[in-house]
Amino acid sequence: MSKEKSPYVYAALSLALLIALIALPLVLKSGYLVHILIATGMYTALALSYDLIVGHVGLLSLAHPAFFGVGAYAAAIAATRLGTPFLAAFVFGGIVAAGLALLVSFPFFRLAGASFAIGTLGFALIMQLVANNSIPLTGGPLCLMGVPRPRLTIPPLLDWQVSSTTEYYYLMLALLLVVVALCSRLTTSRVGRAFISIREEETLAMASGVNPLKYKTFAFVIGALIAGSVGAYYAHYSTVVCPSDLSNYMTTVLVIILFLGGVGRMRGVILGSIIFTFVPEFLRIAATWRMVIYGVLLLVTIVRMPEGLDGMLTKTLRRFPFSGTSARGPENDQR
Amino acid sequence: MRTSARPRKRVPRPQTSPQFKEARLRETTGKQGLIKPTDWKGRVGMTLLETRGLTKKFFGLTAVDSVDINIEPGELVSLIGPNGSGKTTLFNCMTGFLDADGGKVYYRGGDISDLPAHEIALLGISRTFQQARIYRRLSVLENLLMGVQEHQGDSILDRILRTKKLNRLEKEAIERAEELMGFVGLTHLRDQPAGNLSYGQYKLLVFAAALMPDPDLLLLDEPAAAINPTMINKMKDHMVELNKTGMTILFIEHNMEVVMDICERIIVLDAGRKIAEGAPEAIRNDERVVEAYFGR
Repeated sequence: MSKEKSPYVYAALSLALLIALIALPLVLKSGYLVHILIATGMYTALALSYDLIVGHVGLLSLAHPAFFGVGAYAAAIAATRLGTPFLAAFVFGGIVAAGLALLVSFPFFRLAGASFAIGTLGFALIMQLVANNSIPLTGGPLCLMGVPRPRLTIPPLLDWQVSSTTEYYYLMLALLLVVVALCSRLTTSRVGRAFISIREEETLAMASGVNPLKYKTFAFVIGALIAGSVGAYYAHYSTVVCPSDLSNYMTTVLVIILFLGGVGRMRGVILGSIIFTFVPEFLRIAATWRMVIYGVLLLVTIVRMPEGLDGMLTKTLRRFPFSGTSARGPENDQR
Repeated sequence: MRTSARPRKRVPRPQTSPQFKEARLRETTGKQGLIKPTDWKGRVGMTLLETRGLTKKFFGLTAVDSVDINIEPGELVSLIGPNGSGKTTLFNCMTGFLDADGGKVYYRGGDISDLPAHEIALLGISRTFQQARIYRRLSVLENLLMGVQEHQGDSILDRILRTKKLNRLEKEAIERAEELMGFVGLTHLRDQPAGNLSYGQYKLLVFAAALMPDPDLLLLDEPAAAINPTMINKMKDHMVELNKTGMTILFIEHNMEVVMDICERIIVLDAGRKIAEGAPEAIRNDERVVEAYFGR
């Protein structure tokens, strides 16, 4: 917080960004590119929620695909079997994932460090097995199909049948804005400070009256709530939910996004999500070289920017008004 | 530290929670804002902290061996003893960072033996650590704010919604932090990441952070260790000054000059046992103490 940035500059920039995001699908005109944008949006929301747990509280959880998948399945089952309207199915997906997170947090938070990572990994694998094998509930490897397209109805105000890709994009954008608002509120408030205190020095945090278990559980459950909601959106978007959606590939992508974007910094995480989901899809144009370019990109980032994209950006753009640096960044850690 | 593994047995909480304190103080004085130690001077009569037969064993080794100590309100007491005599372990047992194997800890007459560390902290007991723990990536100001925020009784909802109450509390906390930065002389480093500070400045920051919630009892683990003589004198002055305003202080220290200079009472541990207790003069001439330090 070296220089106070003008709130007007900040507001103007945010507004411009929002308008650009709204206009984007109209400019692109390609359904495929909009589809990539939606995937990017989903990964951004997932990465932000993942960052609450990994970046802020400092727990390497590998259970995120499980919460995403549980949210997706819960919403899909509610929508197909019970005929629940979209909004209710969506909320249901998020709440089921959050409830499950609360339940498993009791055994998980008795583990520390590597054991915690392995425990959550085990949980993710088990959830995938459950999805694969509880055929009456999930349809097993044949997938759960026929999730209806969302119809957003708030009686007097709104009756919106979402069907085109562009409409799905706007739905995603709305969800993403809520997630960004929630995560930024959480991380820049006293809650975020408590999260960081636990990551940095748990013992000292306890001596200051911080209940680590309370905050860890809170971050874990909110992270799962967001992941589950994104899953519920995904179920309605792809209209099919498969056990492979719970695969650990997602964790890999999320870890790449976080560590190359900048752990624990919202801007870095958003930037990382855009680059590392949009770019590999975009590179499909150069099909043969796609994964090679992606790999080289990864290597260059990790070698040239060990603090992530955000760390590098902060260094280069220090005087730019948008780059209001917080004292939290490792670039300030000159020891 | 695995807090979750602690027994979650509920014990009746002594009526000294910050909220209670604050409410009672507002009633009696009509004062608003953070409570200063002076406001409490002379208001408490009973023994502040008391251990009865406190014992801690690490496998075969008895680190603390049925220790009884009493700390009265307003005292400035030092805990000394050779290396490995169990001073820090005793601190950890009293503040809930370690589970004692036997014995009880009472705070204002209430049993706090089974309370987890963070709850004990909220009762008004602040402590520092030997290793000078700080949040390196947070600024000096944020380090101090972190010391008090959990004491102010704002809920997570307040924090997310940024209610008026929260803004008021945060403003109070910042005022208090600035006051304390002035007190220990760190004002010029306000927005520096704490990781950039020197070791002596670490110690001052840790000290100030422990003072943030305005504790009734301050437990310091080697406040004057590994810092230069000027800084030691500063630290001595700070402790005396705080004690004059009514704060009770118990500290572990190896620097005998500091101990003999400012303490009213000294407790000596050796091999986990309390071997002597008394005024500096008496301790200086106590045979058992001399023996513990220099051998027979």
